[in-house]
Amino acid sequence: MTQENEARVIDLVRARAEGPSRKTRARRIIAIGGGKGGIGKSLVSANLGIALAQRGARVVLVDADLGGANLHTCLGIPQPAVGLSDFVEKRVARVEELLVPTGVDGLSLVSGASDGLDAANPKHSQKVKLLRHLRTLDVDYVLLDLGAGTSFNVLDFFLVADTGVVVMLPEPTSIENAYRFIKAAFFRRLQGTLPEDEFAQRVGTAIAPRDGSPARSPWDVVADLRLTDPAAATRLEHALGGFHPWIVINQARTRADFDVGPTVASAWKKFFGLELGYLGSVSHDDAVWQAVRSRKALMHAFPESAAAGGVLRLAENLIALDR
Amino acid sequence: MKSFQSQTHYEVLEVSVGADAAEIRSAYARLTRLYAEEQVALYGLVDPASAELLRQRLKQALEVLTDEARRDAYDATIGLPPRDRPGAPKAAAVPPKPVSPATVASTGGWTQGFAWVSAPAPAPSAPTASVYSVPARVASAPSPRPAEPSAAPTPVSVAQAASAVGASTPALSSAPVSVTVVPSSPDAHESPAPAAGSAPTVWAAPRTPSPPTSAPATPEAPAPPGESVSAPAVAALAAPASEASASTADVGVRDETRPVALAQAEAPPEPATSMESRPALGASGPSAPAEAAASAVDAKPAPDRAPAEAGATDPRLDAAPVPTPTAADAAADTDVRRHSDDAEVSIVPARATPREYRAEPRPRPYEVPAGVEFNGDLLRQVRMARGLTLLQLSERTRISVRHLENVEGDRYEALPAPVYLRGILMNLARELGLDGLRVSRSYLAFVDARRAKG
Repeated sequence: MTQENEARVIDLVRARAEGPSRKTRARRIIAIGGGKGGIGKSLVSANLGIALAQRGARVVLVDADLGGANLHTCLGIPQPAVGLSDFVEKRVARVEELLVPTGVDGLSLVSGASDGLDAANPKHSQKVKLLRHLRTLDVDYVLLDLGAGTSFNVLDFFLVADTGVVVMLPEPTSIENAYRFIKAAFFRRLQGTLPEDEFAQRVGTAIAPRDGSPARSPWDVVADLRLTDPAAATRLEHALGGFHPWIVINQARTRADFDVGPTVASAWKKFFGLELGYLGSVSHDDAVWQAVRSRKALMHAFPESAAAGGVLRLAENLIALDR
Repeated sequence: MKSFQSQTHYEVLEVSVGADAAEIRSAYARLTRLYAEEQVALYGLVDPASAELLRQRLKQALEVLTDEARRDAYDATIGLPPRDRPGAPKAAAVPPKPVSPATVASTGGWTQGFAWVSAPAPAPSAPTASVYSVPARVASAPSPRPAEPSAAPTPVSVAQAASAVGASTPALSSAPVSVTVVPSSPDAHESPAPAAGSAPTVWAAPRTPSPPTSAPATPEAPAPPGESVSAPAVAALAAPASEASASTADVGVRDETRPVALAQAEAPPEPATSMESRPALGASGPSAPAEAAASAVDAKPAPDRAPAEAGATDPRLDAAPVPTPTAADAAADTDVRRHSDDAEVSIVPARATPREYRAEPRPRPYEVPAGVEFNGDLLRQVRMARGLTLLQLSERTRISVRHLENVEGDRYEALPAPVYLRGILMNLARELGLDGLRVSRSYLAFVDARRAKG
C-alpha cells in the first residue's frame, strides 16, 4: 500500500450519480462515524438497524470498523463465520454471500470481525470495490458502522455514503473529536472533488488557523479567490455545497445535553456557513449497559427504555429524509 | 451562506431588516445564550478568540440596531432604503430616471429591491409595526396606463392635500405613519410609457396606536385579496374628500392592497403639468402625505386589520426535507425524566411545557409584495439572499444546475417546455420559500411574452 494510493480519494462523483441505467441500488447508504471511540457508534448502528427493519425496511448492517468490529455482539448474535475480510482477501466474490441473518426480519449483517493481520487495512482498490458492491445491494438501507479516528479509511467510507451521521456525546472530549471528524471529512471531500486545486489546504487554513488569527469560513475563501481567480472561486463554491452530515447526541442526561445537538448544528452554520443537520438524541440509559452485558440488542431486551425510544426517533427522522 | 464576519447586523442576529427593537433584543438574548462562553457545543469548533469575536459581533449588532439614529446610518451603508421617518433626507436623493427592476435590484442588492418602511412612532405608546413596500415599477403592470401621470404626486399637490385634510382633522395628524418614496421605473422590455414610469410614487402606510398593522398584505398572506385590503384602502373610502375614492379608482393601480393611490388621489390642484416641472424631488416631503393618509385612516379606523397582519407574518413556506423532531424530543424529555426517576439521581428538571426542536431553524420566507413579477434575476437574488449556491439548490430541488442557470439567466429559449418549466419553477419557489403558484405564473408570463415576440 503506497502513500499515493492511500491518499487517492474515491471518486465520489461517479459513485453518487450512477444514472438511470442502474439495475438495483441500495436506496440510501448511511455511514455512522464520530471520531472518538466508545461513544456508541456501534450501539446506535445496531439498534438503528433493528428499528429501521421493524419499520419494514430491508436493512444491511456493515461492520466497517475493521479491526474493532463488534456489531454482532451488539446485535446479540455469535461471530459470523464469514465477514468483510473474506471479501477483501478474495475468498468470496460477492458481498451478497457475506450477508448473515440477525434474527430480525429484514436485517442482515456483514461482519467485519476477523483475526487476520491485514484485514484492517484494505487497499484502496479493495475499498472501492467493496463500496461498489455495497451500492448494488438490493435493500432500502445500508448502514456502515465506522471505526473511531479520522483515518482515510474511515473518512472515505463516511464520504461515499449518501448520509453521514456523526455520533457525539455531550461532553468536551467527544464534541472536540466530532468537530475534528467533520472538518477532516470536509477537507477530504474538497480534496477528492477537486484534487488539482489546493482547496482543502486553503479552506483548512481558514477554518482552523494555526497562527492565532480568527477562524474564517470557506465562503470567505471563495470571496478572496474571486478577486484573483474567479473560475477557481466558482469551482470551490460548487464544491462547498452538498456536504451535509447529521449529528446524533448519545448518552444525553440533562436538559442541556439535549440542547447540545441543535446548538452544535447552528454554531457550525454560524461560524462556517456550512450545513449540519440534527437527527436526534439518545438518552443515557442503564438499559443499554444491561443489554450489552447480557449480549442482547437493546431494542429487543428493553424496547420500552428511554434509549430505545431515542433510537426509534432517529429511525423515524432517517425515514423522513426520503419523504 | 456567509459566516458571521461577512454578515450584516441583521443576519448576525438572524432577524429580518424590518425587525423591531423587541425582536432584536430577544434574538440577541437567544444567541448570546446559545454561544455563551461556557457552552460546551462550541468546544473544539473554533478557538476561543473566534467565539469571543462572534459575541462581540452580536453585541455590536444589538447596539447599532436598537439605536434609531445609528440604525438609520447603518441601513444607508448597507444599501437599505431609509426607514423613512417623515422628512428623512434620503428620500429626496432617489434618482428620478427610469430604471429597470433588474437594475434596481442589482445595484443595491436584494434588500434594496424591497424597501422596509417604518415609522419613528412619535407617540410613545404606539407599537412599532413594520411594513414592506415594493419599488413601484417592479410591479410591472403589463399594460401601461396613460392615465397615470395625472395622478402622480408632486410636492405641491401632496402638501396641499395634506393641509386640506389635515385642517379638517388636525388632532389626528400626529398619528404615527410610515412613508416611503420609491422611484417608479418602467420595466425595460414591457412598458413603453416613460412618463408614467418616471413619476415618483408616494406610499403612505398609516398606523394607528392600537393593534400593529402591516399595511400592504404580503403575498404569502393566505387571506383572499378581498379581505386583505389594508388600512389605506379602507381609509380612502372614509376620507373626507369624496372625489378621492373616485380618482383612486381612476388611477387604477391594479392591486387593491396597495395604498399608493390614496395620497395621490387626494391632490386636487396642480394636476398633470406639475409633474414635468418637478418630477423627482417631489419625493422630498414625505411627511405631508403621511399626515393626509394618517388623518384619513384615523377618520375611520378599521378594526379588521389585525387579521391581515397575522396572516402576513411568517407562514413558513419553506419545504426543505428536514425532519422535525419536535414531538419526538418532547417525548425524549419525558423519557429522560421518567428514567432518571428510576435512577438514583434526578438531574432533569421537570418542565411544564414540551420543548420544541427543529433540526434547523427555517428561514423566514421573503415577503415579496404583491404585484412583483418574478424574473430570473429576482429568483437569483432570493437564492443569494438565502445563501444557497446553485449546486446546493440543485441538490435540494433535484433540478439540474443547467436548468437553474437558464432560469436565472432568463434564457427562455434554452428552457424546457412550459409544462416542465412550471414544475421546475414550483419546486424552485418552494425551496426558496416563495409562493410557487405566483412564481410560475409570473415567470411563465415572461416566457410567453418572449416567445410571442419571436
